[in-house]
This record gives sequence, structure tokens and C-alpha cells, in this order.
Amino acid sequence: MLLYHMFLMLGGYLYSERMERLRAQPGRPRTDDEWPTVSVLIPAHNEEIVIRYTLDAMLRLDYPRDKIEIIVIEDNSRDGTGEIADEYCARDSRVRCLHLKPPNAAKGKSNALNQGLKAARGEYIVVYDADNTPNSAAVKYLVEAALEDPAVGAVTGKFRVINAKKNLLTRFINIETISFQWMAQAGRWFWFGISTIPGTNFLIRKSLLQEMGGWDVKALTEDTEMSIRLYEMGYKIRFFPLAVTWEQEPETWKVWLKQRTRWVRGNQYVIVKNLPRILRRRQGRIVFDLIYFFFTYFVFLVGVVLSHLLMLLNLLDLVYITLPGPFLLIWLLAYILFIVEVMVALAIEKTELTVRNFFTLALMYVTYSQLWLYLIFRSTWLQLRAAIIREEWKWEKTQRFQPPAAPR
Amino acid sequence: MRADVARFLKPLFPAVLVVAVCCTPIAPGPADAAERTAPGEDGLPETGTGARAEAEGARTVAGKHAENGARAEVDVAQTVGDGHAGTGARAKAEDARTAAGGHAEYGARAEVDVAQTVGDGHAGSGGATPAESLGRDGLTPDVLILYHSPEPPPGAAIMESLLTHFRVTARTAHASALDDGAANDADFIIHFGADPEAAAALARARNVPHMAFLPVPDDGTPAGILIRYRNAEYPAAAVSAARIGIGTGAETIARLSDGRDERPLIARDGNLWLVGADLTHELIRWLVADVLHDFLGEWHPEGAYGLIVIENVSPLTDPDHLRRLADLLGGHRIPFAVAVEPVRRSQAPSERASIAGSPDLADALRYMAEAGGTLVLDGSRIDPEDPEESARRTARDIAALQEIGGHPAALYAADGMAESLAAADERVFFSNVIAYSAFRTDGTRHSGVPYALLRGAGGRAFPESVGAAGGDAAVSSLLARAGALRIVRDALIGVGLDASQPYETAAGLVGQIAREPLYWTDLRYIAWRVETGFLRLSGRGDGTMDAVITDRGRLEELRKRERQTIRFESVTYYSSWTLVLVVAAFIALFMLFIVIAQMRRNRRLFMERELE
Repeated sequence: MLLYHMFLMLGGYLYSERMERLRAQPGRPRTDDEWPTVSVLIPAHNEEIVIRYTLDAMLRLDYPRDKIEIIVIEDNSRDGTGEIADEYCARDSRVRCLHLKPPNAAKGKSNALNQGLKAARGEYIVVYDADNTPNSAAVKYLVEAALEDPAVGAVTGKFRVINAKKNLLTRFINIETISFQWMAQAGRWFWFGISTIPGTNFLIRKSLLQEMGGWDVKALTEDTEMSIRLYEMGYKIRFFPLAVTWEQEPETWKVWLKQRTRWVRGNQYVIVKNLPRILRRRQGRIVFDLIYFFFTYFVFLVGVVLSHLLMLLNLLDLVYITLPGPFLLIWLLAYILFIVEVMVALAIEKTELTVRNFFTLALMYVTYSQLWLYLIFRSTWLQLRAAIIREEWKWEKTQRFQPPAAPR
Repeated sequence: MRADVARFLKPLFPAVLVVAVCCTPIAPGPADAAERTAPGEDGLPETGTGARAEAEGARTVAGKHAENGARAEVDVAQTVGDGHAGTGARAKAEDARTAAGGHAEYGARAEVDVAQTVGDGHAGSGGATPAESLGRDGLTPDVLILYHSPEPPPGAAIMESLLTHFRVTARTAHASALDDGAANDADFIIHFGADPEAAAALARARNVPHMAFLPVPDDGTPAGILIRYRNAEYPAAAVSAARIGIGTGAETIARLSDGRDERPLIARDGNLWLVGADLTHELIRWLVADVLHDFLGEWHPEGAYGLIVIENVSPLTDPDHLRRLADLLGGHRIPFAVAVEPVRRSQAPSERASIAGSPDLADALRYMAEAGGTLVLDGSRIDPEDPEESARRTARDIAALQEIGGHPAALYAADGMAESLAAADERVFFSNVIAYSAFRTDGTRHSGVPYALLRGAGGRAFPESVGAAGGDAAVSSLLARAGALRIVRDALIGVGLDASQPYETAAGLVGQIAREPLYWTDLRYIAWRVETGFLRLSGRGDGTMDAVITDRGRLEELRKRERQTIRFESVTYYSSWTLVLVVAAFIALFMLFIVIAQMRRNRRLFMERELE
């Protein structure tokens, strides 16, 4: 795992250099007619705190007016989300409101997106969560990336944390998201031509989506599920970090725990469901990724727990390691490697390599990162319990917070 | 009850002995599975003087014995009543029990395995009756060590160690235990921190030999630098001593001189022995070690014994160098021990090797055995913090030696290590031990014990009393030390020769020590036993030995595991260092990326949030 992540980070950095060169030498600019039609889907359920900022950002998108529609899928909200959406629908012809009512309402994000898909008129579908504020060029970049390669079935952009400076938790999450995207997304794309749809700020061809039958309403992590299905069909998912969106992350530990447990449960479900593919050796790329996820969520977990246990027993003089080798040095180098790897990712982002982030990162290794162990145990337990008592999964939306004021 | 019987019989023993010696007739001849009925109360066999009775499952009771010069070898013998081996006789028994008067006389040799000697059974002076279960059963003399300080002083522990040279049992108690009758069963009392008058009163009251160590002034003022004892003089590092006031009729046993004045250092007045110095001073310790022979009344043949141990022999040792050492010692007709580390375990794979994969070394060891060497197992790397793992490794070491036909006759290790191995789950038992000490601050390493010690189950401990040679300067100090050790009448001059030292150093030491009048100890002629879960080794003490493989499967498994462990450890070592190098390279590369990214920061593409 250590070697694999080093390898990924190297790929991530090299990809960032490639992106720099690409941006420095842009191709022929397209005329408005040459841009395809795009439907932006924004599922929203009780999002009155954030929806206004999101829609403001959508209206600032740099894309031919007649080639873009923004569909707000208001999913049976009990707050003022519907009224705000109607306000924007009345203000700008690009915005369309779709109000879901029972029995087709409040069945989760996948269901809402499927309803939006039915109403969409564009050739391409772009999805944003209701708390996202994309940069103005984001959609253009996503479309550009898709048009360049017909083998690309979906394009995923980069997301950043809008409330990074709120508290220690959001700082941790900020560092985590930056390093995840430059290491796991960019690194895998650079070396293996694969990445994973993150659930927001991504584009997919509508025809493809219809061919797939839309989103899986049973999946807790519909993005991972969709990624695997796309690979099964032989398409690539391109990571294009020039398309940037800013989203809110949990500001309290309770909200964070709920969100991450859902993610981990969802990913565990996907891994277990698709494990037989490893044996059938279909679609080498995704098999490789499945193996990686299997190792991360199961094998590596056991290794980390054993390693912590051995260290603790060694410190208490209950166990004495007699194997020859520089194990203390390896542990120290692993820690330094962690710091340096993440600092590479932070250095790629212009303003993130700061002294404060360095110390946050140093602390993160022994605090935030270790919580992952608890998350996996918790979600495994919940999965087992759900399987035994045949509990149905319920999709719970993440709590929103008041967004910070935008910079002027 | 048995103890009471023994105490009753003890005073009668000398008389019984005389009667037995005089009245036993000469036996008519050897008997096989002797069940001869002879004149006796119950028609049980006897052998007279010069006779030889070999019996299996023999029982000799009440007065039946092997007389002077006779030889009774019995298997699972039971000799009860007055059964004994007379002077010069040899009674060898396995699981023998000699009760009430049963003993081996002067010069006799009774070797027993799992022996129980009760009543008055003992080995006379010069005899060797190592016996298990030496206890407070009225058979062996009981020595009570008393102290007045809140905690036992260092001298008490030193005294306990010195007393294991003798066939006594020792126990330590605070002086307040006297009120509880602690001294009632004591045959000897040794008293630390005693007031002279109180000690004298106690000696008179108990009427048993009483050695009192007087409190030494702690102002650090030396009282003397020369000890006079038994018509010889011994220079000493400054000795602090208490003044001993002796009356007429008292005898001064040792004197201390400061060059001008002389005063008693050890004095005896009847049952009371007064010692005016501290056992923590090495020469005083040796002096007392010798005086104990007279104090306890136990005769040991006089004459210093020598024991040379070639140390630090492993699969990495040059075999030719070992052959040269063997020739050197063999040329001087000096038997020696070779402490072998059969499996060298080290962090670095280049220093890891097994004797099974070193045929040259195996040949060299055979050569050494023919030159008078006895193999002993080097236990210097036993970890006292992890006795279970140490016992497992020791078992694998023995298995590795067995692979080349080598059998260790003893364990070469620090004090207490043999006990921890014997107590481990993977039990490894050594009856005989060559004991060395940890290195001192001055770089020397030698045991403070000047003579061989008795261990349970017939075993012995041989201290490395002089130390190991480390260079020309060290040779002279070793020889000086050997000379000083002669203050003990039966001192063991234990010397180590480090196999990693140049040949010239060893030659210098051996050449000089060969001139010393010493009885050289040949471990092959001292009975020994080694037991593991898969192998039982025993030396009969006549130069021959038995080896019984009790679990061949386990032996093969241990050999195989050692080979696998060496391979596995090599792989672990090299792969972990490879990982270190790879990770370090990536860290360096990533730091370069960070520097480059920071240098290009101003024109970097991925920037902060757009301004509205």
C-alpha cells in the first residue's frame, strides 16, 4: 500500500504538470454553435441555507445561454427551497424547476436525479449538489474534456472545500480532499486511465445514462456504483481538474460521522457486490481498482490494526520484536512520507502550502486519519446488522451550514 | 517424623560407623543380581571389603553396605538403615535413597540421581555426593545467617553464594527472628552487624559455631594493605576494618597490616569467630571463603584447580585459529572447555550463520575435542527478560550441535540463566554451568566467587573467577589475580580465552599459567546431564557419555525451523532495507517537487476561489 500510494502521488504530480502545459497552450476556441447542449441537474431537499448561492453560481457559468439549462429538482422540501427555486426560475429562462411530490418524492438523490433525467433536454448531463458553487468555466472544461475523447463516458472535475477555514475538522477535510484528488484521482488517471465519479461536478452523456437505465436507487453511494457500471460498458471516466467546484463539508463531528459512515457503507457494499468480477477477470482496469478498494477497506484495515496492536504491546514490554530490520526507521519514514506526499498535493494548489496546513497535517496522521479505522468498524457492524435484521437503507442528506462570505 | 528419627540417630553415627567398619566380613566374591542371604536380620545381601556387588533393583538394609574399597552399583537402589559406602568405596545409584546413616565416606564417591539422603547420609570430606533435596531435614548442617540492618546487607547475599560450595543449607533472617526460635535448629550461625559482646553471649548460649561480622567504620579510613594468613602474605587494596578485641586463649587466624601496625582481622575464641572486615572487599571475601572450610569443619582437598574456557566460538570463528589454540593447550597438557554458539543470530545477514552449515568449524571442534577440549554451550546471549524465547533458542542450538555430532556438557552463561532455562515451558536443563559475570566499569569481567559451587541434582557451577584475557596488559593482571586467589585452599582459577583475540595473547597467557601448580579441571571427568524435550545427554564422569534422542521428530523440526528462520530473517532484513531505500528516494523526489511547485507558485494554475 505504501509503495502504491507513492506511485500514485508521483502520477498525480506529473498529471498536474501536464494540465499546466495544456492550459498554457489551449486549442482552437470553439464558437457558441460548436458547444453541445447541457442540462445541469441540481437535486435539492431542504437546502434553503445554500441553494441561493448555488443558483447564483450557476447563472455565472460561462456557457452559451441557449445551450445550457439548469434544472433544480426540488424534492418535497419542507423549507423554503421550493420558493427560492421558483424565484430563480422566474428570473432566468435557463433555470427550470421540477418539484417532486409523493409518491415520487423523498426517495433519495438517485431517484431525484432519475426524475431530472427524464425532464432533461441536453445532450450532456452535468450534476451538482445543492451546496456547490462551481467556477464559471467549470462546465466548459467538463464538456471540452468529454469532446476530446469519444472513449470517455464521463468526466469528473475537482471539488474544493468552501468552508475550509471554519474549524480544525474542516481543515482536516480540506487537506484530505486535496490529497485524495491529486493522489487517488489524478494518480490513477495518469497511470491507469481510471478515476471515480465523486457525486458532484461531473458530466456524462445523456444517451449513455439512458442506456444504463439511470441511477441505482438502491445504492448508498450512487457515484461509485455508476463508475463501475461505466467501466463495465467499456468507457473511461476522465479526471479533469481544471473544472472546479466549491462545496460545503461537515463542520461538526456528528455530521461528519454520519456522512462518512454512509460513504464507507456504500463503498463496502459495492466492493462485496463486485468481488466476483475479480475472479472472472473482466475489465482489467476496474478489477485492479476493486482489488485496491478491497485492500483498503479490508486487508489494509487488518494490517493497520495489527500494526497498532504490536506497537502498543511493544511499548508495554509485552511483546518483543526479534526480526532483524530497521522497523523503527521504517515507521518514521512512513510518517515523513505521509507528510511529504500530502505536501506535494498542497503545493499543486497555489495557496494551500502554508505553515498552518503543515502543522495540521502533522497532527492529522495521529488523529483524523486514525478515525478511518473506527469508521470502517462502525460501518461493517451496521452492514452486518442490516443484513441480519434485513434493514432497508435510508438515504440521509448531509446537514448544511451557513456558507462563508465569498471573497471580493 | 523422618527428621526427628534422623536427629536422634545423628549422634550415634560415628559409633555405628566404627562398628560397621570393624564387623563387616570380606565378601566371598562378586555376585550378579545379588540376593545372597548372608548373616543378617532379614537375609538381605551384603558385600564385604573389596567385594563387588552389582545388583539391579537391589535393596540393602540395616547394616548392609559396600565396605571400604568395595563397589556397589545399583540401579534404583534403596539403602536404608545403616547402608553406606565405606571409605574409598563407590556407590553409584540411580534414584538412590540412603537413609539414616547412609553415606559415602572420605574419598568415596557416591553419585546419585535424584538422590535423597536423609538422616545422617552425607558425602565425607573429599567425597562427592551431590544430592538433590538437601534441606532442613536434619541431614545437612543448617547455617543461619542473621543481620541487624533493616534490609539484608550485601554481605548476606555474598555469604549465601559462598556457602553453596559446602554441603550445608543456608537461610537468612533478621536478628529479631531469634526471639521466635529461628536459631533453634541452626548448626552454625553467621551474624552480620553484630555487637561483639552480644555475639559472644549468643555463641555461649547456643553452643554452635558462630561467625560474627563486626560493623566496619564507614569513614573510609583504610586500616591495612596487607593480609597475613596461613604463613603467607597477600597485598590488598585498602581494607577498612573494625578493631577486634580478643582475650587470652583466643587465636588470631588472619592479620591486617598497614606497614607499621598489625591487628587481628579474623580471630577465634572457642565457638566464636570474629571477622573485622566486610565481604564486599574481594580479598576479604576470598579470605572468608577459605576460613569457612575450618568454620564449618568440612574438609576439602587442598590445591588450586584450573579451568580454561575458550570463549566466543561461533560459525564465524576461524577454524584454523581454533586448531592452533587446541595445539597450544594440548601441548601443555591442559584440558579445556570450548564455549560454542552454534547459531549466530545477528541483525545483519552477513553475520548470521549456523554450525550445521560450517563443516570446517565442525572439523575444528572435533580436533579440539581430541586435544582435550569439552564442548559447552555458549549461553551468553540468553535474554533474561525473555526466558521462554531464550529456552527455545537454546533448544535449537542444541539441535544444531547434535547435527554435527556435538554434545554440550555444560552451559556457559551468567548467574541465574540456567535456572531460567530449566523453568521455561521448553525446558532445557544443564546440571553443570560455567558462570561468568557481566563486564565491570574497569572493563574486566570476572566472578567474585573463588571456587566451584554445588547445584541441585548433582550439578556444579564453575565460576570464571579470574576473567578473560583481552591483551598483554590484561594477561599480567589475570595472573596477579590468579595468584591472589590462592588464599583459598581449593580455589578455582577460572580463565577465559577469547577466540577473537590474537593467538599471541592466548599463547602468552597459557604459557605463563601453565607454570602455575594447578590441578586442571577436565569437564569430561565430572558427571553431567543435559536434558531437553527431545534429547537427554549424560556424562558418567569417566570420560564417556550417553546420548538418547527422546523425540526425533522434534529434533528434526527444530533443525528445520532454524534453517527456515535464518532464511526468513535474511529476507526480512534485506526487504526492509530495500523498502527504506525506496521510501527515502521517494521522499527526496517529493521534496524536489514541492520546491519546484513553490518556485513556480506565481504562475501556478490551480488557484484560490474566483473573486466575485
